[in-house]
Amino acid sequence: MPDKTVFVVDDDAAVRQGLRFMLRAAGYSVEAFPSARSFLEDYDPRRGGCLLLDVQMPQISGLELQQRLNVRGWRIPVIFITGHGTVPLAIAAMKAGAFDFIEKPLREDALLENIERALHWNDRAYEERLERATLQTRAALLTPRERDVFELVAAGEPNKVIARHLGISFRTVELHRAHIIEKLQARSLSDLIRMAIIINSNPNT
Amino acid sequence: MEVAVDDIVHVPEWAAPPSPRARQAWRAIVLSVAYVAVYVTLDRISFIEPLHGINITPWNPSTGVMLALLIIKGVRWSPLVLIAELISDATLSQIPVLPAPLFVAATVVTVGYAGAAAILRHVRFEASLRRTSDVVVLFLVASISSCLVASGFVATYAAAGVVPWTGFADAVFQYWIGDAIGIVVFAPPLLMITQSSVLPAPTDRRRNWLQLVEVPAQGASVVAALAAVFLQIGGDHPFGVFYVLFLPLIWIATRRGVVAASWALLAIQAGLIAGLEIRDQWEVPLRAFQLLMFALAATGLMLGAVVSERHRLSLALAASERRRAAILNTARDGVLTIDAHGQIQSINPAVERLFELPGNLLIGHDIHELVDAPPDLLARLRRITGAPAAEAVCWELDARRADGEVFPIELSVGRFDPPGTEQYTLVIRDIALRRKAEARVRKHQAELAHVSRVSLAGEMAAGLAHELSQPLTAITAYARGCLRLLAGSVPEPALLHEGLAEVVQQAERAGDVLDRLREFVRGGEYRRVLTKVKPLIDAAVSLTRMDAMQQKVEIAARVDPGLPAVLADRIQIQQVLLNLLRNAMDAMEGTNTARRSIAVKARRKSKHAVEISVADSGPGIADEVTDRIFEPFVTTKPLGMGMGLSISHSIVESHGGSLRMARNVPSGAIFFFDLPTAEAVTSTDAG
Repeated sequence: MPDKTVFVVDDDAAVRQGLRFMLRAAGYSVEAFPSARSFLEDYDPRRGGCLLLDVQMPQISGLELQQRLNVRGWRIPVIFITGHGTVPLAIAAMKAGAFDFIEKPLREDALLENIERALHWNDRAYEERLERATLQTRAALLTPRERDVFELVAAGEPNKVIARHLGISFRTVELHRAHIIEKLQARSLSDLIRMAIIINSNPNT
Repeated sequence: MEVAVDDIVHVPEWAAPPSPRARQAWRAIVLSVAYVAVYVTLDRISFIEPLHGINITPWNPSTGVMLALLIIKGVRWSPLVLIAELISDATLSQIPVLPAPLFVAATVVTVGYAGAAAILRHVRFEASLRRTSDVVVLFLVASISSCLVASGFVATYAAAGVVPWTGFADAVFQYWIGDAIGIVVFAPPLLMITQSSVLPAPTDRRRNWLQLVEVPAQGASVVAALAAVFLQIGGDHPFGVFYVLFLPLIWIATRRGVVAASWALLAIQAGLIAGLEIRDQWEVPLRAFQLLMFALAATGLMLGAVVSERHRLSLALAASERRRAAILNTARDGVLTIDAHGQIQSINPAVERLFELPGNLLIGHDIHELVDAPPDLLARLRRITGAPAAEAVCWELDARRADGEVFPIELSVGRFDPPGTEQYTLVIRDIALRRKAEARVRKHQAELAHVSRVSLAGEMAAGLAHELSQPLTAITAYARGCLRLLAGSVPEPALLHEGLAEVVQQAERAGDVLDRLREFVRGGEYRRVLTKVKPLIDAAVSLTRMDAMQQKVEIAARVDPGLPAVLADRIQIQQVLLNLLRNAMDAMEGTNTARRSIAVKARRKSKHAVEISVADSGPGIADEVTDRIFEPFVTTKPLGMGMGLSISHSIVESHGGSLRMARNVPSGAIFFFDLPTAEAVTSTDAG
């Protein structure tokens, strides 16, 4: 049974505590953190729930926290709270697989509706977006050479062909492959191919 | 119009004026011939009562001419003097004289007087005889040189057997008195007429009619005195009434000075000689008269010189007094003198204008009636001006006009002590206009700063919106929560209270932000108050926090504990800090510096100043801009106007400091400025 807890991460104490106050009044269980670091230290990914995250924070910003979650494969839906004039940040957040974003000052109904959706999400489009963003975040960790190898692997080429094609040794290709699988957290070759398809698909569809 | 080449007039060679060199040569020749002629002629005329048949006579006016020539023209004219002497001696001699003693004697004369002339040209002797010292020197040199020449001359002829050694002393005396009289009577008029700056007669110019009568009367008195001597009025001894000659001479010398006295002496000498020639039945030798004549000449010239000198000094004094008066009357600053009790002794017209009071209401009054000077003004004056390296002391004070109007002045003070008293000179300058101009500049600067502050506030809109949206978000959240609690079935007053208290607190926080903003963009009046440094810095840092966060810049403020309050316009100084902070952030934007940081520090620099610095870790400022960085329209930013630093600089200057820049280590720039402490202000007031 997944947790229905709302996690709030905001560096501004008043906003953080205000949100906790309101959400508790609305009947949610709330846990609030003053920084991304304290959330990462405390959060157990098995708990589920949803994350209300301030885009702008000192040290680790909201966007950075989202990327770290993606790399770790912690699939908690993230609702960003954005300030005035930070629309470009909001767009970047959505591309990186955010569940949604709402602007400050907060409108209660919009916020509660979002939280409700996030806690019970079975939205296929969001699922795909999150998956793609997660994989893209992980793929960004690949070196250029690993990326070349990954493309050829995804095209179904055997290691021998890849080695010849890139002018490197068979052994090196194997090493790269191992790294790719590790970085993308793939379970099998088919998983890897599936990931390649998702990563290369158009994110706007 | 064209000018034909033929029209140009060619001056023929022969028509050219003689060159200056040729003219000089001509003059020298004419002078030489004239000199020899005059010298020989005078010697012939004065060849009276010669001893031993040679040129040993009791009256030698030619010697005066000779010495005058040597003094005026220099000793290089000695050869001419020698030639004239040779001609004269050879032609006058009543007995045959061998060439050798003739030549030796003439050489002795020439060398003797050339030496005298050389001495006179080298000591501080002025041929115009304007000073008494000149007369004394002339008499000394004339007496000594003629004595030496006389001895040499007579000795030469004694050696040659012309003069018996037994008559040596007598001959030397006769020669000496003749030459000495010749010099003191004949040389002064000659010397004085060759001086271009002939002295004005010491008679008052306004009484010209008196001169018209006086000059002939003086001439007549000389003639009358001579007549008295030769008509032997008052006794049959020839010298009996000689002293009468002193009377016209004293009259002339006292009234008309040394020039007239010398001419009168010349006239008396000529009259004496002429009278003796006419009445030669007297058995009195001329040289006895000449001794009296020498005393007469000494008296006349000395008296004349004293009178002339006094007259000259009084003229110089009058001129200096006129100059002083002209300066004081022209001066726009009030100049006055006060005594040791602060009573006004003298004023210039500007003082009357400044205080709108006539002089008679000012003189004798206390300086404190005019100027709001400290009560211990005089004690201070004495202390300050008594210091060994006393410079002009200058204070800014208030002064009061007759109608009670108060105006600002600058008071400069000096001290001068006439014998027996103690006096100070005060110069008062009305600085009302200057003050107004300063105020205008300050107002202008404040307005400019205001405009730039408003635009700065516009640039910070995002940051301010964030500052406001934070409390608003919190307020909304708490208020919504409260509403929900109220709608719920279970009343929870403690929670409600907590929520509402937060609403109030956050609303106040938003209000503070607005207050800060309103204060920051408020109008341009300039208001300096004693203020603490830390809140100033905190306010500026908080206004840039949002931008700093966006650009991942860490701002650390370190204010030393125990800093004294500073005298500053808080808004303007915040503006300076904000400008520096934003510049620092802009400088670091787009750089790949691992750590973007700004350090704001405040420390006590001295008793009188607190130094605030803003240091960044950006790339620093390029050398080619560093010299001009504080000028308007100089910028390193692609979209910059270049006004920020220029305005900041003028703000800091209006606080009595200066905005400076240095390189940070390992990279970046540091800007510093000083703010005056309360102590700096009080110590200025006391000064």
